[in-house]
Amino acid sequence: MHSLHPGLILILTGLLAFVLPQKARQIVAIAGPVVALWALWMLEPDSAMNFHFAGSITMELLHVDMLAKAFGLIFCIIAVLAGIYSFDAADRGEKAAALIYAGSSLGVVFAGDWISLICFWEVMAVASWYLVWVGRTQKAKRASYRYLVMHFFGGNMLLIGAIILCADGNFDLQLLTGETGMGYWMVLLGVAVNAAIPPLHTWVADAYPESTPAGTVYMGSFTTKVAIFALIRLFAGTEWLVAIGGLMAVFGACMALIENDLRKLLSYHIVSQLGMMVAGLATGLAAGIDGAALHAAFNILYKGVLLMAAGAVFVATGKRKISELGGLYKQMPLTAVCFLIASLSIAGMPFLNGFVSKGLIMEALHDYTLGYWLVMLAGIGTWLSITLKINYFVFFGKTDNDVVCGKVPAYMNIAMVLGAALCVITGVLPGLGYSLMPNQTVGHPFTMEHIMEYFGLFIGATVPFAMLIRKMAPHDYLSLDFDWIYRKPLAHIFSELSKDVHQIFVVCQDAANEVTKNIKLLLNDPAQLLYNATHWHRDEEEMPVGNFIWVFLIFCLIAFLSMGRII
Amino acid sequence: MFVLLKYIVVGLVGGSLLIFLAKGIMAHILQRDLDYYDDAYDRGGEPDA
Repeated sequence: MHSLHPGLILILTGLLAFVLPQKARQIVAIAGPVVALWALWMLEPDSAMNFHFAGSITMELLHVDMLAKAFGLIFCIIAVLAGIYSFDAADRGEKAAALIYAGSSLGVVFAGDWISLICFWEVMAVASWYLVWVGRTQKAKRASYRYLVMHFFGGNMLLIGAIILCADGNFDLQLLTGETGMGYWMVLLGVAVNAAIPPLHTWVADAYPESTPAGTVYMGSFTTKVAIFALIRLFAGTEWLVAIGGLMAVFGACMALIENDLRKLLSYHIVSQLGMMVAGLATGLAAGIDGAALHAAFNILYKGVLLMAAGAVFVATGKRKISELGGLYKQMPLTAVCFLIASLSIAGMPFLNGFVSKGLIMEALHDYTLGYWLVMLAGIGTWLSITLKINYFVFFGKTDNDVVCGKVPAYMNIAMVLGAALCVITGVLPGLGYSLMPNQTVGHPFTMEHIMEYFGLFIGATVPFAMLIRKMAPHDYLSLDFDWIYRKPLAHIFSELSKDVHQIFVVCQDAANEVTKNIKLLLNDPAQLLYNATHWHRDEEEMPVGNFIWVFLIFCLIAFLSMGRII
Repeated sequence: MFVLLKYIVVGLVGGSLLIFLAKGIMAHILQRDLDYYDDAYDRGGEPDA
């Protein structure tokens, strides 16, 4: 048994990557996650790492259970794949931030108390902010600051909630389901920001597409899945979240259907997939919790491949809008095949991993009619918006666009192929996933009825898509979302307010300058000051010195009268 | 076979509903020109020139 913290290994690797030269950094960025994966695999339930401070407070940095190990395992795997994918990234800060981000996500997953959780939660927010900012375009920088504001808001809500919950001196993380106090709601609000529960989801579609291709892969894998972990640990069985999750899943799928930006579409689809997980875990049933955890794990794999493929398209063509792409399977066959496999996985095609995890969630939702049908509808939306829409309009359909393709680096292809292979392996061998889940629920995905169900849905949903194929073509518009509230009216209000505040400062500064100038004049040349005061004209552009004299005289009078009263 | 037919109908109805919802309603309400947010930028505390 050992007590090496896989998250701290990654954080240290990130710090090391920041100071190492390019060649060494490339190796360390892959070796670090591999070592973390080994450390995680070797962890035992009684592995522990505690940090004592302030006399009686203990931070439980390493709390090992099945749920934490399952999430940790997939985090390490995607960190290895993303490390390969971003092998040639030149920005040392990006590599360091990516590893610290992955490490802090593992830190949250293994946190045994509120203090550890919040510390790693905040590190995660700052490291991921840098991954957006490093896109370095004006849009990326603006999106990164909006991202930071949202996550600081969420982090502060979590902190306030934790302070309220820990008022009795107990810092242990416990299931909060059934509680109703202010602490409960604050923590839920904080986690909801990271879980992208509408209307707090806007940062996903705003920030993710603006990062670098590799940055987007990291971002799509950690923050939201850590939130799902936190929801399972703290709010599993909160039944009213079933309907919220279902609505969230349909909303994300609809937004994805009208989106033109490839990476933004995939980001909206993250919201949809998170909704399915929220609905599953909210049932509180073993199948629901295992389904949500397994879906989160598999989602990291297939969504990782989808984002990698979208990044590869961007690297090869310099384009990210679907309306500017088309027919890429001839020039990028490997990317097209990997994308196809991942898009079939996410839709739940039998013998791919999405089929396995979605099956558990649907089983748990069997008694929740609204949640069941909403998640079913969102599944159809996934088939339409990802599998059909992107594959047709980007890779396999005919196009009038003259798309010139460059070469996709080999390391990007390797990462995509490995990810797609994992989607197939975990889909064909569902026992691999089941055995890692906290309740070890064993589903029976390969029944004829279950397989026919999914094939039926796909055939049925393809009919309206094919009939309305012209209507399905994306158009180059911007889709408004809930961020309209703070990007339009609130932005206007704050802008006007800040102008007024600025005006007050300008007036104060002018007055202070004038006072200083006149005091100097009073000390150096009192006669001139007196002359200025008596020869002042209102029309003059200069600051009215006479005003100063009057203010000074009134001040003297008040002071004199006050002195008289005091005496 | 019944299961297959049942879910073909579900897929057909669900797919049509989603396309109507997204492309028919949401797109009309939510889609704007790409420069829609541009006027919200660069309006910091300093008064406009």
